[in-house]
Amino acid sequence: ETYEMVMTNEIATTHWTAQAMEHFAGQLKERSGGRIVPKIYHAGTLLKDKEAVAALGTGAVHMVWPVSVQLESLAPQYGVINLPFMITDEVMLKPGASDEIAALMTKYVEDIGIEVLGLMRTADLMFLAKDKEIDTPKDLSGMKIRLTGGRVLQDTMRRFGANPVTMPATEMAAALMQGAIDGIYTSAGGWEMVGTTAKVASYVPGMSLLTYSVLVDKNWLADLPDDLRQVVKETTKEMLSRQWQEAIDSDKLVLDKMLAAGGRLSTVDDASREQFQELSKKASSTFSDRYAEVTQQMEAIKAKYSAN
Amino acid sequence: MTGITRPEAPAASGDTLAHANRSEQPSERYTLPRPWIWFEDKVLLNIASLFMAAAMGVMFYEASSRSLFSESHWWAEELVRFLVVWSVLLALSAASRDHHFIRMELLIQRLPRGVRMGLNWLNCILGMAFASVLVYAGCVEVMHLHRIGMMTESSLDLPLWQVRLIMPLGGLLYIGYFVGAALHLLHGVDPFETEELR
Amino acid sequence: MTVALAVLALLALIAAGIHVGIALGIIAAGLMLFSFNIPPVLIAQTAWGSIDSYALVAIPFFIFSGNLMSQGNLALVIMNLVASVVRCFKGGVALALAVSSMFFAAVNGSSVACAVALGPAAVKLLPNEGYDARFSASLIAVCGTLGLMIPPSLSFILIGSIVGMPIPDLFIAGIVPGLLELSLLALGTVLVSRRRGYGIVQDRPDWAGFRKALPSASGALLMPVLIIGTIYAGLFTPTEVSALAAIYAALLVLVVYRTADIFAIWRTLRESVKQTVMIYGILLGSGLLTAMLTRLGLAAELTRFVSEADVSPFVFLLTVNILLIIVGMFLDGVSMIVLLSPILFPLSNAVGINPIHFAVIMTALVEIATLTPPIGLNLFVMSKITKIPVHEIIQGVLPFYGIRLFGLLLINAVPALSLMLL
Ligand code: NA
Ligand code: NA
Repeated sequence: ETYEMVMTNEIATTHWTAQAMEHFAGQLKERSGGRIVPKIYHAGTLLKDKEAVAALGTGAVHMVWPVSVQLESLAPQYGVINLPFMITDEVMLKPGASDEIAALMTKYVEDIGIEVLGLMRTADLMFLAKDKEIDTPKDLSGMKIRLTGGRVLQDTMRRFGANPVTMPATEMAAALMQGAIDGIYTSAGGWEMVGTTAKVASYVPGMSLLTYSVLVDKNWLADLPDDLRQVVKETTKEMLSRQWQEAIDSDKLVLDKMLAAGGRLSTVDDASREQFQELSKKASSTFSDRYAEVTQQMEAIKAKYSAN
Repeated sequence: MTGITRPEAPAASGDTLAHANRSEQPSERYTLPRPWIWFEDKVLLNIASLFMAAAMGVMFYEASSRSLFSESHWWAEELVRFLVVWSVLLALSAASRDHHFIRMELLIQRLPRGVRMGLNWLNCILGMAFASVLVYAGCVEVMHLHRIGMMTESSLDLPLWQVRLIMPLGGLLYIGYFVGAALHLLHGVDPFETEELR
Repeated sequence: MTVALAVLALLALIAAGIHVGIALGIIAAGLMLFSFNIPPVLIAQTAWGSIDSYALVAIPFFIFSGNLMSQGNLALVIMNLVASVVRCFKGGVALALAVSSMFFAAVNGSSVACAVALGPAAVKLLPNEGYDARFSASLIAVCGTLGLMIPPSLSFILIGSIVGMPIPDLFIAGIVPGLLELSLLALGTVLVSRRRGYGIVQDRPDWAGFRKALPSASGALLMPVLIIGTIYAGLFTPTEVSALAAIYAALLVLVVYRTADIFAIWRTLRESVKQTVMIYGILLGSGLLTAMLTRLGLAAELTRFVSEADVSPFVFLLTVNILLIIVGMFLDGVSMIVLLSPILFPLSNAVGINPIHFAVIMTALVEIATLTPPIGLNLFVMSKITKIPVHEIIQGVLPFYGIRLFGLLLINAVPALSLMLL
């Protein structure tokens, strides 16, 4: 008997995530001896990620890797991993950390039929501007910054004195060029998309590390025969263990390419980074006061893996 | 490529009432009950227009506010999108009743009236079937969203199931349109006939 | 096999006069429910996803502003202005119409909205100047299509939002091809007018008349400046500018020209909502069908086939052009774009054609489709406005098909036309 496994994403087929999904599906097919039949629908052709998350558990889709922010509209506690300065490369590269965080997050979505198998590294975010360098939070004052992301990030930007703007990614390059916005908070990949219209990228280390959540239909997984369920879990685990470092490397590659094309990267100094962190704590506190339990558990996991 | 404006077209099916006495064909005397037409044309279409006007206002406000006062509102984009979808699905029946649909008339224009009426019945049945699919799928979706408690993405802070309620509701209104069309057919009136045919 | 059957059934239903949106939707729903055991949530999600889009919101707003302008008789004001100067040579007034159409193209997103805005005025003006009424009506039907190529453009908005391309880039790409089409059209207009002896001639430009007409036209003339200006000043995005256009048009007819009161504007809004429903109905049905074809893996299969068959760009473009001219006879522009772009764009990518160039080609083909019988919306619209039978309008359009095909050929053969401003 074969089991159809529908996976969707909303990024171009040329993007590394899409290729990672293809590779992952190939492994599943091979290791299950063809009993799992993965079907991938790229670039939002079947469902956008937001819709796919909503449809998990209905049979329309079985696995999806959305940006973690999208889980916030389903379980607000999920916002903990999107807090500024929360997720770091240092912690996530330690074996076991990803598993523990996934188990923690699963607690908040499992009763609606979703299991979190792990986190993938999406990208490190930075400020893009036409030619303005951001050295301290003061530099952001009054700037119109285009960003995506949950309410904590929006609130954080306001604490810095910036005006968060939401607009479709397809319109942001033109908007920056013509001055409709003053800056963009995005990844190296986003910089590549905007091009050297944005000449300067300013980086606050660790401030916002975006993740994908690897989500699976919990009941579908539970109903698989034991050996196939193991194949899915093991293959996912193996992919996740490699993915974090690979994503760091590919992020760096894109960044180097932008620098070679004439872009300039400025990294804020430690003193200024503390200022950013201090201001963002105020924004985070509205979250951590409300969802104290999950924040504490998350901090505990972080402390455990930072220590050794 | 967009809609056909009909400067000389009757404003709504309600106007057919006025033509009724002049009409030669006995079939054209049939009109739907007044409250039905009133509900579609006056209640639904006016609410839909209100939503559309609101969407326009919100979009203009957001764009001006962002460009003039550097103040962007996170909820604006979602609100605009939802208002337009609600407007369209609310007006589905009223617009169709006023012949705002696209179809190919070239062939059926040349067919004998009997065959044409047969195809009109087919249109009605398929229309009801499709609208029923929207109602059924919409209900399943709304119940699922209600169960998982998903919220809208922005600071609009609406439960998503409430937003999506318009899908089964619009489907229901659409079924109403085809029921009305079927009533016309029963009385020998072609409900899909447009000016080109006359 | 199933797919072939579905396509046949779809064509049969459309031919049988079933509402196109219903035909698309019922085929999609049938396949999803019975043949492939796909859960209802997927239907609800894809149906919703096909109409819930920020970029698509420009459609109702542009329709509304176009309808307002036709109500305000703005076209007559502008055409009188241009005509006062160009009446001095034979065919001049027809040329004025063509030039005015560029103005409406630059404030309108759709070809029908352009035709509607120009139609009543032109039918009033041209026959008085010694032009054949049938020729006038046909000319407007043809000129109206420029609204799709010259930005802002619904065609580009649709393509951009479906395929995921930057809409501003597409707008910019349409400028030169749009001006090229306009020049060809103007040339054709003058030639036809002279050969048939249309138009009265005055000795020299009537500058006094021009000065007299200018103040009243300035409010309307400001509109394209405002629209294009706000986009390029970075104040509004191309989507948002549709709301600006609508609100400005409302103010123009309400306050400046006083050709409508608030009730008339409300009636226009109601009419615009109904026209929007017509388009969204198609979007809904074809969104479902596209999702179904995707779920079946047809699109991916086709892409693989074409890229493996090593088709040359020339053969591919030739095929697409012929296919779309034929399909365009039967389908309207929105259905064409919504149905075919998810399939054609990946294919054109696989063959190595620049997607922006391809979007311009597709728009040129959609322009032609709005003029080709049996389903050509602009033909119907002009027939309605002028009360001239559709087949006579088609006869009037005939000389322009050649011009259109020549423009299409240039746009296909010279990618630089589309890409030079980018
Ligand atoms: Na235009
Ligand atoms: Na056509």
